[in-house]
Amino acid sequence: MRRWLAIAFFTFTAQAAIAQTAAPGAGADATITLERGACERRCPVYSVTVRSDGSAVYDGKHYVAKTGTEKTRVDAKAVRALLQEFEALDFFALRDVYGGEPGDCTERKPDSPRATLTLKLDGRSKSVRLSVGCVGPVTSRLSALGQAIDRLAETERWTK
Amino acid sequence: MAFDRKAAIDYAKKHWTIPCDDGIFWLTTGSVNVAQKRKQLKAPAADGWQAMFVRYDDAGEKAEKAVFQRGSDEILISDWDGLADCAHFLSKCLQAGGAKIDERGVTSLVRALQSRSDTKTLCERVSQTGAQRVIDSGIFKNGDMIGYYNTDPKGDYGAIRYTHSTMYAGKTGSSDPGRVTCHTMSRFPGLSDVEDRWWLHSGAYEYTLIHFADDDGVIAPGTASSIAGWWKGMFGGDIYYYYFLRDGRARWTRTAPKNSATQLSREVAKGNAYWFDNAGTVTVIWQNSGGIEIWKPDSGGYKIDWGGRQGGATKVFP
Repeated sequence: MRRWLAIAFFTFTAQAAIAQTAAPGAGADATITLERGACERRCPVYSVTVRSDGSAVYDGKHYVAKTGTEKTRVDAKAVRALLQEFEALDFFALRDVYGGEPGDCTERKPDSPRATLTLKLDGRSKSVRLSVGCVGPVTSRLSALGQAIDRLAETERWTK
Repeated sequence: MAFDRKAAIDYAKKHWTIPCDDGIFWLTTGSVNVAQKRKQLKAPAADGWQAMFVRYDDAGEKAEKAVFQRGSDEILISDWDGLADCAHFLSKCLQAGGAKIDERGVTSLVRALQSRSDTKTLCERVSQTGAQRVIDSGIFKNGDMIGYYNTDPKGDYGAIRYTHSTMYAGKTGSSDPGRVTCHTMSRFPGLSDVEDRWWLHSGAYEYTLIHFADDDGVIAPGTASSIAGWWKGMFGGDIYYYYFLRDGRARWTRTAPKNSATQLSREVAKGNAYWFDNAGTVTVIWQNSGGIEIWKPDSGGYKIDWGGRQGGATKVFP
């Protein structure tokens, strides 16, 4: 009996350890939100949230063709692929803001909007805000993530 | 009464960082009533709270927000997203100058200005270079208006139309290109901490320059009589036929007129212009390019300086 209890205990703790270090894609209810902010040149202001179950919501605010919310479905596998990108970036370890510190940008495009990426996963939440016009080692990858989210949700059908 | 340029500029200088004196400012989604916001956010003027547009750093970029400010304290009224007060601010500046304009959108503001009997569209949707020529001509003055026509499908939310407007506020020095005042973002020459040179963003726009014309010098009757009618302009081997009207308009075509009674309509002309008299020397400003020609009387004809290219003009029907 004691041996079975020990086996059960070690199995449980091993599984818990695996769960903690498992790929983010294992998160059953992960949520990724992209918020695009204003610029002087009337950049579209909207947010889009995609979930690991494939549900997605767009919320258009300013300078977009469609204001208000739209619900849609996206490829759940593609969401898991995005989550892997977040993991590759070590997203939860990033700073809260990129674009204003020395070294953030090797090049800067003027009058660029800001974007905020938020990841909610396994009870944790992290938001990173960046200048989209900041070309740098971290910001370029974050911008690419943002573009991937836009493509996945096909936000252009509402923003243009 | 002529448009009061000084009053318009003075209004702009007073209000460039604060809501206009009608107590509202505009977002894309509607107006914000400052008095109502004072009650809602508990920021009474009597307690020293001032409504302002303030700049702030957002991830290394400049942004602007509407706040109530008292010393170093701030209460947010509206953040950067959706601020859209440019046409409203300019309407109020124009009203201060005596022009009854009240528009919320940039396209409607430009159209309203162009349709006025006291304005002349000196150039329409021209390049930065063309508009700079018009600004440098001396005809375009403080208080005149600039419309910015977005041509970049990736800019200004992809809208290929007028998306911004400003009021010209003069040059800070003889070699300065010229500066503007506006809201969203707030600018006034010499006071702004953002780009306030008139073109705002290179490569993004075509420019329409609208001039309040009531305070232009009167065309001398002698000049009008002298220049009205058909002229043959020659630049090397190139021939252009000019048709001048006494009222300050001019047109050109490649087709020689049949007789002195031949008229050239705006629609048929290859180009349309306004011309301005300065003691017999005539400045011609072409609307579709911003091209400037200076016509100086010369032995019954004119010598023409067209952006450094020299030519001459003779009467077609002496």
